[in-house]
Amino acid sequence: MQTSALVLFVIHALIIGVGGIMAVASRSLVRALVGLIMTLFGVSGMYLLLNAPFIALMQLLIYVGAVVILIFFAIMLTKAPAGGEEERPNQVRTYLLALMAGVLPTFVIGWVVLTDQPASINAPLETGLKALGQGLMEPYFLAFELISVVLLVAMSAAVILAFKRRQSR
Amino acid sequence: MSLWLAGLALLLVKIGLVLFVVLTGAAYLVLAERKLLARFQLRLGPNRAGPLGIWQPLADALKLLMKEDTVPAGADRPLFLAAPAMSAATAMLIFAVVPFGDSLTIAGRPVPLVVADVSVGLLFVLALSSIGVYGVVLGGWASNSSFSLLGAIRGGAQMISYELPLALSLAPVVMLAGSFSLVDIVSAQAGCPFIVKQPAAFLIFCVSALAESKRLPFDLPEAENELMAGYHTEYSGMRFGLYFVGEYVNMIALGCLVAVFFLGGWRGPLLPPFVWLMLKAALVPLVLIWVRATLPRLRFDQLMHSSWKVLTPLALANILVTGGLMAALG
Amino acid sequence: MSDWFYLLPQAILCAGGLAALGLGAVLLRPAPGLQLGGALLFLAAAGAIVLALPAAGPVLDDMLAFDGIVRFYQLLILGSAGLSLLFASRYASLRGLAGDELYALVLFATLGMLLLAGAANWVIFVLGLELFTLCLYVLIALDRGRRTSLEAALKYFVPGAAAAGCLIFGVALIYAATGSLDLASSLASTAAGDVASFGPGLAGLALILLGVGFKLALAPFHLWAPDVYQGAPAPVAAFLATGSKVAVYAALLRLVAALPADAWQALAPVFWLLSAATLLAGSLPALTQTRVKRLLAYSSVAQMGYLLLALLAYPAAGPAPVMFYAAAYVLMDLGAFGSLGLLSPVSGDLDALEGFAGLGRTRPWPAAVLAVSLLSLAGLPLTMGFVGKFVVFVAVVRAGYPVLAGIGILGAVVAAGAYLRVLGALYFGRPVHAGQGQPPGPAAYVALGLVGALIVLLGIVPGPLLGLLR
Repeated sequence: MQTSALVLFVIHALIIGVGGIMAVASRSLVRALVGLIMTLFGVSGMYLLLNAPFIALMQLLIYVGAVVILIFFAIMLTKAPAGGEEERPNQVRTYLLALMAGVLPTFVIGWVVLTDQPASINAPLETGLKALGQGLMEPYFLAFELISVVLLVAMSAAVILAFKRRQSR
Repeated sequence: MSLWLAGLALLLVKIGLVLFVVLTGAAYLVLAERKLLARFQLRLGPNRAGPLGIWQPLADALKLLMKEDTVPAGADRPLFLAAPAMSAATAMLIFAVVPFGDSLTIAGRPVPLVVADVSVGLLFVLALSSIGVYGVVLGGWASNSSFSLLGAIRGGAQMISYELPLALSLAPVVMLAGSFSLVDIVSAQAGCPFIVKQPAAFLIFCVSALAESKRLPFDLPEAENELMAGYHTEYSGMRFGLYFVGEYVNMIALGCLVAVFFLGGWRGPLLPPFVWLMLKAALVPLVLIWVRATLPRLRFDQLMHSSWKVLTPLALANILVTGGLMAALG
Repeated sequence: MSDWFYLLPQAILCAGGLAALGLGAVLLRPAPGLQLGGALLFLAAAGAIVLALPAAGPVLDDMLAFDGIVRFYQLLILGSAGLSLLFASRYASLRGLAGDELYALVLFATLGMLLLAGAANWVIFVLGLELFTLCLYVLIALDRGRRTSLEAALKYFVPGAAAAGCLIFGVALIYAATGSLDLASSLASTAAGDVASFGPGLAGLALILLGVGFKLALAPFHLWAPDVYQGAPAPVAAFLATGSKVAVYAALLRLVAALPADAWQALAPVFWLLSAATLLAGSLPALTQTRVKRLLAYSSVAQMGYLLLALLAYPAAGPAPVMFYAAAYVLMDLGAFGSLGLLSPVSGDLDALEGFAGLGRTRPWPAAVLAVSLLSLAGLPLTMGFVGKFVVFVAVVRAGYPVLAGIGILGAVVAAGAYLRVLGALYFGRPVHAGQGQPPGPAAYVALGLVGALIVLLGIVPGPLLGLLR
């Protein structure tokens, strides 16, 4: 059990990593998006490993099924040509900086986690959907409602920024 | 260890059986559609290959397999090759959670007649149908052709627009059954099928499912008189065949889902459960064919209007009413 | 008293935001006076309830805190929002920016700030922060016809999104380490002698500090500030510079208060370095800056350094210095950005130093408030800024950080030179344009009067307010 969990973890980590690299390194925007989808699938698999199937499928439903599709639309409708600044080969300095930005946090967090292992639960327990719903509706009621305000603001913000201002008549 | 192996073998047998039935069903659904359409149009339909044309699906498959598999110039090759598989695979995966009978007892152990009783099976189905969009948009994009791109944009817009009422219409079902598992939803309909309690949800689900299947009157993504064949214009041979299979498997899947969510699944008197499920599941494809022969195509604004301004608010209202009634009646 | 009463101010602001949007939908062009009056009414109602509510421990399942400090900060935020709106209303309607979205977004942003100031749970902390940041992204880009405005919004948005990611990752680490999302109890158990949760907890705190540092424009995360303040419409910059910062400081204050002693000991050097860097990074570039909005942006960065100094002294000297300085900062920056907006012509905000020449004579009132605010920012006696700096330096020296106090004083002296250049231009320059700018309108005069009077009054008689805060 322990070994198979470890193997699955490594597989998912690889999917996430390869997808992430693809998302960043691809010349074509659509390929990059496919990389992003791969990463999201990997993350969803991680949730499954954590015994949270509800979150895993919600991840697929919301991110893969809705968010990325909308980004896809933006790409298809604008038909953005590959090229421009990102087309030029990066300088070595850029790569070094990117490497530093990646390695430094990895090192710090890895070091912390390896030296002081957080006391986590060994076998993840599945939180029932009922408990999840009650958590959202009772102690986290305020947060739940607040998210709807955040979404409302985000939505109206998108409308305000994207639409033409009402002409004064 | 032997128990583990037996479990694996059982799983493989179940998967094999389900896929065999579904793929055969899809093949003969094509034949049925051609026959029925012909009848609707006062023609005979295919009748040369075998008696009543029953070998026609085999002949079609053979033809598709032997055709040249072309990839257009300037296409995004890996995506172009992979996209049809997404369309077909997501449709077939839906059958993993559809229960086709009560649990059997073999050698003193209960064997549930479902490939996988996932506790969030309904979400699994919805997630698959939303991933199915990628088969359309990636295929259309990767073809590097204007018709394909337009078809892909239309297909994507249509499918995510109807994803919403599709999912929302199922919320009352979950509320009534108290579970996301398809097995539990079927057992919750032991007394009376949900179509009686939830006629509005049933209608919303059917219309949305019709739109998800991209068939007339919702066939804008492949509207043949404006877009050639829409997102799969550039496909040939078995890759086109995969899109084709995906479409028909999807029709059967929708039939199974309607049966599971609203018609009581495999439950029914006299006949064995599996036959009941097949009978109920056949309803939707037949209606879809009938509708195809009857209705003209919608305009794009009508399509969007009916999803965002009619079905979605209706589904939301339905949830509210159901919740209110459940709270009032305890 | 029911817990739900503590949600009333937030609920009123939410209702106000919805009402503003609804008004815009029903009446296609509502009168600006109606919108401004309505928004102020909602702010005032929320303020009255904040004043009237008795202090209590964490309420609503430990989601919100409401003690004297929270009440003070919430009033400060509401005041900052109200004054910003007073400054903004005519500014915006002259430039065709005064849609329903301005008022709605300011109200929603204020809601987010109140929640952040009173957050007792990490979830509310993150959501409040994100809510007002989201509103600010749009408010900065309100003048969409102007490239600089859009550029500013983008420059705030992209690093802001990354900072939000860091923040949420930090919260996740803290949750993983302690198993609690409650602000106080998760922080308390980061260092209850528990080695296992100390390291990840500190790493989480560091990431949170990074995210918060970006929102506050602490060096080295301050590079966005000059461009964003320069590009944003002046009253929006006023709101961005005051309300959002004060809300974050309120949360930071509670965070520091909840830290156990050994975690504080680990974090204090970080705060030390951050405040020293921020003071220098805010003060030194101001010296060569000839663009006034950028100058004000750097000064706002430096002020963050002083607030951080006061925060560093908090465990030793109590909350009074940091609270008093926060109030002073809000008034000074509101006065500076607000009057800059009033002095500006419709064609674009005043920015270059030459544009200010002689405005002291042609536009005496807004120029006078700008002058008072700058004097206060420079920390000259008889202004609130002087008292604030004095209180902070005393507290910092008492807390045992004399070197930092030295850096602070050095920074103040350097920056004072830069402010004096603007003052010189205002009063001794030769006017270049005759009839620049528009009359500010009555609402803006109210705001000008309030800000100017308070800066001077609290500079001369700071006793009562300081007594209240102690």
